[in-house]
Amino acid sequence: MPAQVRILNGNTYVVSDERGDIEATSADPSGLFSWDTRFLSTWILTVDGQRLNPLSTDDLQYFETTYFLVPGTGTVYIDAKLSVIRRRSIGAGLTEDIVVINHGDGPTDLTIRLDAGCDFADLFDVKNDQKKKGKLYRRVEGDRLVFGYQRETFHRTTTISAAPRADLDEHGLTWTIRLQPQQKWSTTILVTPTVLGSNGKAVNLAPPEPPDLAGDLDRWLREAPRLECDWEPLRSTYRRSLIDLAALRFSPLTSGGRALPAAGLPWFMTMFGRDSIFTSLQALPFAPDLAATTLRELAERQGTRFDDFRDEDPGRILHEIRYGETAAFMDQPHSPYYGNADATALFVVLLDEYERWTGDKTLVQDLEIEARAALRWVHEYADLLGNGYVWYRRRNEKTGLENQCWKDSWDSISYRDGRLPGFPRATCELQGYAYDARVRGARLAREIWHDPDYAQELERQAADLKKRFNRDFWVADGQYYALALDAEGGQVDALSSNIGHLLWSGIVDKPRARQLAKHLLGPRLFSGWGVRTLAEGERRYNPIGYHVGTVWPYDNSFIAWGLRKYGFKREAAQIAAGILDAAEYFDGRLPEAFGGYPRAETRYPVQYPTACSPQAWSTGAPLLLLRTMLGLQPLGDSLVVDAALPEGIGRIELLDIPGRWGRVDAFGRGRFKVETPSRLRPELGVGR
Amino acid sequence: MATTTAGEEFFAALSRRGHEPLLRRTAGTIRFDIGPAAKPQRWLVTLDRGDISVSRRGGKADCVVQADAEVFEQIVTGRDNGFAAYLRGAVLATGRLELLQIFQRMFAGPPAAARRSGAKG
Repeated sequence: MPAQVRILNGNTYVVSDERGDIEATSADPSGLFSWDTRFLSTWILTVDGQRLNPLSTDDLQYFETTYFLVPGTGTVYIDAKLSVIRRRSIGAGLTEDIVVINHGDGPTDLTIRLDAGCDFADLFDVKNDQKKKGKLYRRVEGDRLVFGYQRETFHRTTTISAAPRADLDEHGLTWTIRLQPQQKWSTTILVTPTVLGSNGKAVNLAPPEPPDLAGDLDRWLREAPRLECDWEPLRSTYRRSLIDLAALRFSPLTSGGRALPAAGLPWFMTMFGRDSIFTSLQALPFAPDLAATTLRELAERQGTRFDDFRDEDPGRILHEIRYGETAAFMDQPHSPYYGNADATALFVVLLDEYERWTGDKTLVQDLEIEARAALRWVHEYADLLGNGYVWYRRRNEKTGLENQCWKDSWDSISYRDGRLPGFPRATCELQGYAYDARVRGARLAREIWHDPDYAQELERQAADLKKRFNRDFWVADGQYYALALDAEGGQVDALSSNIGHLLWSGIVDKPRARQLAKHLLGPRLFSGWGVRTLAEGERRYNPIGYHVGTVWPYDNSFIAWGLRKYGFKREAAQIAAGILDAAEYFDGRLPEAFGGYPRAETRYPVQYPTACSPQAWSTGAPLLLLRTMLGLQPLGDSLVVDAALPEGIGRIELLDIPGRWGRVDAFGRGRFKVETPSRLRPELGVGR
Repeated sequence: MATTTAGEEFFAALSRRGHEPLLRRTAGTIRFDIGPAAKPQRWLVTLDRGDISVSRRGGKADCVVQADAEVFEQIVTGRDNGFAAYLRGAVLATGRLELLQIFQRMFAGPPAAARRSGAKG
């Protein structure tokens, strides 16, 4: 399979092979995408009818790539009398420079050809070969080649032009050139995706991007805390995370150019309630502005109505927004879709955590109405059975999500024996988030909204929930919390990573935390790299099953945070060491998930087959692990540092951490011995 | 016209709405040009930190919204979705688009939406 090279700006991006070519098929979802629509599905460069071979690819910047190519068809011998360089960048559209250099000793006549085409597939249809319901067209208009798609008032076009001018036909661009020895020829091609309204004029979907992407990235890196560390791989993982997080920034229409984290590249370059909140939490000590924008933008789109198609209720925080044909014609509910059961509580959690770090009381005052509406949703609309728990059951039975928790695949919630419960379901971590949201909401009510009665009511609800939860979810014969309750109140009793989120939320009765820590670091859940989503030994366990055995770095970063909250420093350091060791094998870019195979057996982390990368909350995982290992915790107007680091990390300094204290530094030294069953290279537990 | 249109009803109700907390962070004007481009019905909505006023005069606005009468009627009655209609190109907007994005929460939800069977009350 050809390497997929990706570059992007906002939600405009290119996925192509290592030559820079795009040959989309239902099995190969490459192309130029913008606003969830494919604007190029064919983009193939040939010289004298021959495809090109890649020598190397430089994609050091996320918004530009350079391909170094020579003619030839992949035989061992390459006659390199010609160099072809494709330099590509993404702004509002795609800009591509093609440079051809003659290294031969005589003049040469060449035909440079760029085949172009577009199917205007909706992102949700790219893998299905969906037949278009509207009309596709292609035509040459003067010096421009235009592809278009029209269905009623829905109209999208791709406009291609080149300088120097090409001979245009409806299937591409051709240049016939003569090159003298050592002579160089070049052309610049512009590809502009356009969304048109019924009046034929361009429709805006986003604020204009900053024109200077390189300068913007430099600024972003300069403003983040600086990491110095004896263990070199952590420095490069940190830098990779910051750059990927920059690439994943997304500015919705209402944000005035400010950015929040989109969920992932390439297929999730849009706002997701859950992913944007989790990533903002992870990044708080490093880039707190992401949290502010996430909170504001989610608040502007908070549910206000009852809408079964969108699973919307008043106060609910959205799940996902999409901009393509399926959203426009309501074949999919993403305009926006509200079907999640966690983002609404997490919205309040983020608001509180954000204020603790930044001291930005103004935003908390500003969002009081939305935060109260969110807490009301948790207490009232989410409680489908009226028994005080958060339950989910989709009302959109055709295109809504069945599992409205982060483990959203069909088989993720099961009993030990593999049976799947009916609906509604109340997964355990949702109760943890609901508890935490009330506790944190109570603080905001008391200290910032000056409503002590409301604070007291929230605390009463929280205490009551904690008591009932510890009674109803505790699996006595396993000494852990059930994955969920079923509608009859029975325990969905599989052992899962969700118990780690419970530690993070604080809903765990203190005497039980030790048991959870033992499970999380025990052989059934801990692979050596991290905590598996589902424990080995459960009927549905599969080390490469999406939510039933793989290890998710994001999941682990919150588990480590939870362990530290209950005082398990060594255990948190062990998880951090495993995930950061894995990061090194992925060149600092942690995938969404990797295999749950025991580390001692595979010795390297096995990438999950179709994982999307970079994904925002995987990118955020090393950041949260850094926070966790350093024990960073805001306390009033100062930052507490209480480091508990794996030995192999040596000395570490995180400098200029922003917050309500201005900027402060954190220092630490590796003191905890952790286990590293594979020893392919220097790893965190072993030392340098 | 003998009968009132859904658009007329919507704007009449809007001007009676008084303070709307959902719009409290927003100030600006939106002009709705509804019907044929040559001879639209016009409403000018002024948003002032949660206070809403509606007038029938034309004139400049921070955001201008254009739509067919039928499309607009579907949207204000909750049978169509404003954002989806915008993506379809059926609703056009120029100027400060964020005003429309924030304002669209004033449109009704779908008429048939049943409350969840399990919800309290």
